[in-house]
Amino acid sequence: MIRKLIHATAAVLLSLGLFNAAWADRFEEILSKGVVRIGVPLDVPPFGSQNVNREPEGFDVEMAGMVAKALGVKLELTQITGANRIPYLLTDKVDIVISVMGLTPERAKQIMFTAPYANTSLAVYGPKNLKVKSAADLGNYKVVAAKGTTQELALTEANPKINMMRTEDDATAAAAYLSGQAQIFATNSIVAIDLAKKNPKKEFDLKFNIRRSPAHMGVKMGEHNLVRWLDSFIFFNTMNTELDKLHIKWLGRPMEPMPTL
Amino acid sequence: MFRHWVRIVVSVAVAALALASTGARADKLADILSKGVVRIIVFSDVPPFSSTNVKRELEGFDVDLAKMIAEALGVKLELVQATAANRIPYLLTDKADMNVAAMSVTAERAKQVMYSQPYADTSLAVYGPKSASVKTGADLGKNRIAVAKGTTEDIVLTSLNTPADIMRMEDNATSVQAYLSGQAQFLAANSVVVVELAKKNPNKEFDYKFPLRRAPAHVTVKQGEHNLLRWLDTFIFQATLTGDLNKLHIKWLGGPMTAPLPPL
Repeated sequence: MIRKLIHATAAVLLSLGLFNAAWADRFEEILSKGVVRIGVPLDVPPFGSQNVNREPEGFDVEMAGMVAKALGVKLELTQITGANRIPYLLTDKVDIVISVMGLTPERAKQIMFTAPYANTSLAVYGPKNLKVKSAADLGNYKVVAAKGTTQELALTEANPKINMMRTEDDATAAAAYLSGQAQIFATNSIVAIDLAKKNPKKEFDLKFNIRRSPAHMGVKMGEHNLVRWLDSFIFFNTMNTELDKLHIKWLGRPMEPMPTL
Repeated sequence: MFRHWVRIVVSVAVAALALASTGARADKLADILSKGVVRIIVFSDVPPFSSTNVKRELEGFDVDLAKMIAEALGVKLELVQATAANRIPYLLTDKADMNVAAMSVTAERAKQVMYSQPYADTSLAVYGPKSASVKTGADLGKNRIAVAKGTTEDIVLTSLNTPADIMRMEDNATSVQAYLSGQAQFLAANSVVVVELAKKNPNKEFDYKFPLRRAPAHVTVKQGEHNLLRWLDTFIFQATLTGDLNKLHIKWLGGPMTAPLPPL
């Protein structure tokens, strides 16, 4: 009986120990496997989209390439959307998410954010003749934003009665605005500028800024070695002006000083 | 017999290994979220950071910040009152999950606790009557200076090797009382606390003598709680961008956050 008990206890403790062994360090894994899996958007130009040759390009895509190069490993790009980027981290489909992601304390209960790497803000756009200056003025209009994004959450919180059309991704939200399905479009400032360029007949009048919202990379909760390496990588590329070059190339303006995480 | 002995040794070794590793895995952030309660340390007698109002409720900058933290975590708030000297012991003995009692950084304290990014800009200084010409620790002469035990102002003042008699009082309230009653000729305190004191005691002089140091306030957690610390940094970053932290500065510290605070 006692022997049985000891056996059972040992088995349970052993399985706990094994479970613990499975808690490996992602940073070491990336280096030992020689591959880093990075999730990027392909529906959010100029951060991530497909060019005429159907190759991924943009700020985040190039940033992913820089990360892999600095790590000295092979890059494996995975396309993600605003709604599935956190699930992809949680289920280990990717090691890092670089998808112009704004941080929130709510998201930070599930994943960890790096220091900011790109200077963007969230804003509300519409036709020139609409008089809208705050979330409170949005009551009578159909507003569109991609589901689960910072702008969608912020507007819904500021005005719970808002008539919000929540789309699967940013491209669908943009299409809804362009086609007139929605009258107001909440998105990242940079996305709006890019869309306005491509659709000269559509008005993208800035109604109001929701707030400054720099982009951060995301990693799985607990991966402190990886997040610290990425923070050092961002600091290094700020100092050597590589990050400034990316801002000028993709966002058309130099990098401004950013608050530190 | 031998087999039995081996079995015991093996099971004990396995148990020790498993305990050691699971012990290292315990995570305070996950604990807080699963229990649905966060226990936060604040002062009971340091306005405008945290003190008791006429309704005998705690109020102040730190109290509001603690409420914002609990709300952002989506859990119930349990305030734990402490003095400057027992803030760290309370964290180390797990009486609380985090400390929001206006604590500034010292390398010594950082051996025991971990600091978040700063959330409030304050500085520490020495105050006294207008007539006293005092610009350094040496100028304090043989006078008495009151300070709350275990505060950063106590640590900096002590390092000055002043000839003055440093009265290390149990808490902020008794330190202030020693100065108001004239027991001490000088007071070492947080600049923000002194603004509040001067308002409440118009007949007492709180003339600024010399600075001890700039001392932003940080949230602290027990050493090793990296997930919780990263969450707090994220929370502070967000509260800075949304302007919520600035609103707290205006409400309790009498003005907006000036320059960006230096990062940790």
